[in-house]
Amino acid sequence: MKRAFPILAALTALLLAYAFYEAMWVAPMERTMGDVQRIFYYHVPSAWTAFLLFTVNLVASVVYLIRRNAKADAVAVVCAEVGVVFCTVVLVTGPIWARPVWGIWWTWDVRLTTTLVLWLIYVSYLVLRRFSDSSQTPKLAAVLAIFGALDVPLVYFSIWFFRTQHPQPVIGGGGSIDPRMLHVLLINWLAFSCFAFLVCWARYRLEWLHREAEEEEALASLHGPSQ
Amino acid sequence: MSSLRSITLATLTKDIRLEWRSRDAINSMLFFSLLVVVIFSFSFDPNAEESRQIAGGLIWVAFLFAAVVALNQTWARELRNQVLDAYRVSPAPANALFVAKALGNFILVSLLEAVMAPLFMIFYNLRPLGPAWQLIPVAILGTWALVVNGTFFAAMSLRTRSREIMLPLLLFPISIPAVQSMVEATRIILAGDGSARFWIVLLLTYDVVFTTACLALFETILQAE
Amino acid sequence: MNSIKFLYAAYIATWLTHGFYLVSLVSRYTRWRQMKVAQSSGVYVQNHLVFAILVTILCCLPAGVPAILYAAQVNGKLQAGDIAGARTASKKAKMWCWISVGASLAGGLVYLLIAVGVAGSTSR
Repeated sequence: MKRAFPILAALTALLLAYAFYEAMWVAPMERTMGDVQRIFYYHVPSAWTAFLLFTVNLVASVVYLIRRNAKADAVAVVCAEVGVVFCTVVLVTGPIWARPVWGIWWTWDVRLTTTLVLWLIYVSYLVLRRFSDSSQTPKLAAVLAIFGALDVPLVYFSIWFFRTQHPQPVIGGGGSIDPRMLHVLLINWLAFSCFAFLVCWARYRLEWLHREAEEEEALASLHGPSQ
Repeated sequence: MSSLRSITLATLTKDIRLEWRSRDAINSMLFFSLLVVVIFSFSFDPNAEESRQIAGGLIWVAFLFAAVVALNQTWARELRNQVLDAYRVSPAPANALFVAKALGNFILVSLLEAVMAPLFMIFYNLRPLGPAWQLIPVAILGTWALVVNGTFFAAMSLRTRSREIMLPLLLFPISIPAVQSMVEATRIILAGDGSARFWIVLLLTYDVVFTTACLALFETILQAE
Repeated sequence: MNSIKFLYAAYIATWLTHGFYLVSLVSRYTRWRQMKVAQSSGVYVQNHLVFAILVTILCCLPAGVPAILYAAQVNGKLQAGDIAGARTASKKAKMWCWISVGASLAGGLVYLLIAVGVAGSTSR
């Protein structure tokens, strides 16, 4: 298991490099936006990966509440952290893309705002984890994850309706996509998913190391303050 | 079922009686609300036409801050007297405690709003151009939305460091759709432009979803302290 | 086209964000390692390994290499029981890290002065 990690890391690095090459040179130039549109190939896969990670966090949280399985809780923490990192990338690349194309840094459009709220909810999740010292932190965090999941559809709905009342340019546009662009998009998504998986794996191992160290400390202090 | 109601009622009346006997907390919160209104009036110049557009947002932000101040001391009395431990070992359903607390907070925050709203109307010279009666369901549903989640998150924050900052940190992101609905509905009613029906329905949905979630998960939280 | 800068900025920002997170993971791991070593030897000595790697990549490479070499010795010496040696290696590693930072700052300052000087002289 441990030997697989460097091999997978090397493969993922190659895949990321290939995906970068595709995004920069192979993908056709967009008619209206020009080369800046290539940000799309980093922005959208990061968003999909972040949402996937948050979904895994939700599932792990529910599993933890039902079964009190420590591994589920570790998976939840890991996915929340890495998800926040990818979500940050989305929120940073979004405005960087919007500025040259639509002239504005930010707009309260449905997707960007929902991503922002999701980011806020999960940052508050991580803060709760850090500030809560009790052994029941996993339970509290799991409940917060469920509340967040219930909230997101409501957020989406409310902003969607708000937008129909106050229309503004939609960032990222809708509509059909050139199959060659879709191909590059999917390659980048595959590369970033592998990258996310590796980072999660590393973080998961680190989490287990920390938990074992805490257990040892607890046991050591139980056996008497010899020092 | 009747025991749930009687326990809830007993807890609620006990809380109200205790609050009434030492009115310090309520008085200081009322004064805080007044200060918030005055500061907002200085910061956002209440010139008639624009004020109607932003008043919806201002009034609810002011209510939000007042609500957080009220919510922060929700469980303080219980903590001081180990009431929560007593509840955990008693056969009383945890939901009774939660509903009683939430209702108590609802009454308190509504009281604060009843003081602040007329002041806002006066300072900003507001006259609702739309159907004014709709402001009542907006106020009730909106306040309940803040209070139900606020009471729940206050319970969650009990064992955390920096308890007072933890509550707004958890509450604000989750409350975003509710706050947007309240603000939009109030703005529409005050400016008389369009129908606030969608926002009222969204507020109702929010309330139903989160009240159910809080009732379902409060037992878990209570055991977690 | 000026908007190309935004394209590069976006890609760089993406990798910077991921980079920050990965560096935080590595430093959390080294801190865990140091705790383990401290538990077995009873003494806690910082190895500055992450700092050394960062300054080698970001600041001055020639000064960063001795920093990394000394930092890598610390844990080994601790485990072998040579606490004084570990402390000296740790101090030397830290010194070379700061030398690297200082060298790159000084280099940057010199570059700035020359650039301003050249700009001043050509504008006349």
